[in-house]
Amino acid sequence: MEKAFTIIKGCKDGYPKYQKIFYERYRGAALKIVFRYIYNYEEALEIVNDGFVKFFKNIDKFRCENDTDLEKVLNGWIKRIMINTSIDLLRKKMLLPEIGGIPEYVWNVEDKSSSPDQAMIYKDLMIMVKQLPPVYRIVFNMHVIDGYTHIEIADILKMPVGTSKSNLQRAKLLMQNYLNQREELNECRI
Amino acid sequence: MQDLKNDMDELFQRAAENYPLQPGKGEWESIAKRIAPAEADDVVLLKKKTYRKSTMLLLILALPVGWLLFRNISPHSVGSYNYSAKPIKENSFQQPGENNGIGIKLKKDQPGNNTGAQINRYHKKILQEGRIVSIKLSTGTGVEYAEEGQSLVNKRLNDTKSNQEKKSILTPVFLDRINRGFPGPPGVKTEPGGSLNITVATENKNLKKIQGQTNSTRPGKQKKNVTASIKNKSIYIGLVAGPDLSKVQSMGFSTAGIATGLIAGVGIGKSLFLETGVIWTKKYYDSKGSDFSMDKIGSGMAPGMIINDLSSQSTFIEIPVKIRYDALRKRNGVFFIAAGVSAYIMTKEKNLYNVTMNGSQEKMTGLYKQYNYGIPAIANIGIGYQQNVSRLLQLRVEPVLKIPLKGIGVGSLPVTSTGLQFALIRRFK
Repeated sequence: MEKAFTIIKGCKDGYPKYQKIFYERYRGAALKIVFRYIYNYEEALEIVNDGFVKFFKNIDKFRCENDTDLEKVLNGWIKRIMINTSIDLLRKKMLLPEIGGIPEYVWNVEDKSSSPDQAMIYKDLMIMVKQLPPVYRIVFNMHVIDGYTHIEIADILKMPVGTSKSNLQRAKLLMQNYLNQREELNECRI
Repeated sequence: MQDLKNDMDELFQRAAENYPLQPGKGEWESIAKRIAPAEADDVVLLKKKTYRKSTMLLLILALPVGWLLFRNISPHSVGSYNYSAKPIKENSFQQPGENNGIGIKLKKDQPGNNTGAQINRYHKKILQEGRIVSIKLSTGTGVEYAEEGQSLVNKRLNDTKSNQEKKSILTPVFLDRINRGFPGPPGVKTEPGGSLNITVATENKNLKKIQGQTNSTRPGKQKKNVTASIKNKSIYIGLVAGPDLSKVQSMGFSTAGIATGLIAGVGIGKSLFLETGVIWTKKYYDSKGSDFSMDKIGSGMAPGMIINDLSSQSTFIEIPVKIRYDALRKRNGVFFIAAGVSAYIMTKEKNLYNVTMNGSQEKMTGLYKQYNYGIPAIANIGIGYQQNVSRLLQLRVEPVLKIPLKGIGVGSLPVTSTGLQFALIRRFK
């Protein structure tokens, strides 16, 4: 297995072989980030590809002095590119909420990284996140999951810090409602 | 409380890290193309030059191909019928007034048989297998030639001639092909059991029905019958395009869409054609929320949400199967009516919803790329006119009406469409 350093160097030198290895290695993780922001699976796949194109075109700007931190820095860089590309698309669509179910085929039921029960819970939680209106979804994802501060979010979304905070509050309230509804449903089934 | 919030955040962080998502198929090839280094200007210039040269070469090559395809096209002759089955027999001669354009009389050119104006005699001028040939039409006093593809139906010889001669009506008979069993040049010899492919012009309506009998009333001669059956074996293909206007129930028409594709047809009767094709259609339509069925996407809707109305943009592949009937033939064209059904495959649907959620009006979008289909889902009715551009090329204009038999798309909307289809058609014999 190639080391991240070798792959990055190969990508910087423009070797298609290393670019392909890089793409194959990080595509899955990138999709998981994008799909939290973008409602439609096919659109998410396109955004991931757009993100990688941006990455390869700007790879010369990528700097990491310390080899031990390379993987961490790289992941952060990819995450930032993917999130920005996703937000660009949502902005293009005027942050209008989406409609329609999430088809079952997008879920990897054979994923062995967690127990089946856990996987189901995670899947349901992600569906809840995706059902949030786009602005709330972006703020919730950026702050709660991706660790952005409200100042950073306000800067990226071009909104006041207060708006970012209130959006997060409303998003959390909606999530709480979803969770309560889910619990009520479970109780009814029991 | 703070702990609960922290727990919730942590739960979502873990979920985001580990939720089971299909990685999908990678599209490395498309990315590789997009990130390929930009070519130098001189390379681009060279490519442009090569492209121009290739285009020129293709055009030069296309010319002989076009000539081969259209060399047999004649501007006047428009109908092609196959006469076969019963033997076409030779009438030795006729009385004046006989066979005025309702039969086929072919006979060898024999000196002495020409008895002046009383006989209309037909013999071939040039005969070549597989090609349209010219027929010489002769009367006692005047000779007229029907050139290749020319029509002389019901054409009187000459206004200056006598009244009796004026009655002589020339029947155009253009030999298209002499089948086996007939000798080649120089003489046309019609033998029992043989058949002829004859191309006739359509100016004379009677000629569409060339059939039945050619009688000889010569005393003492046995009545001879010439029967020819008409079989329409024509096949055609065409390019079709035109605007498409769609609406749902009482809502008005929205922006005009487009329909374009390929059609193909085959003759199944004297004036009947079976037609099919593949039509790519883009439709725009608005509908009320009450017409939108939630059966297919109900699970994805937020509880308590009501759709007030929506605007849709859909892309279909439509496969029509219809019967065309040529109702009225004109000099250079035909009026027809067509009816049939269509199946559709929906490749993309994009809806913009106006919804009421928690008492407030909101806008929402929905994009559906999963293929949705219906067989058959649309009834088609059309009335049109087909104009002959040349012997094998035709232009068609057809206003069409498409009535839904089933609901279309994720909301099973009853989309009614109308449009004007223009087609360029190439006929094959």
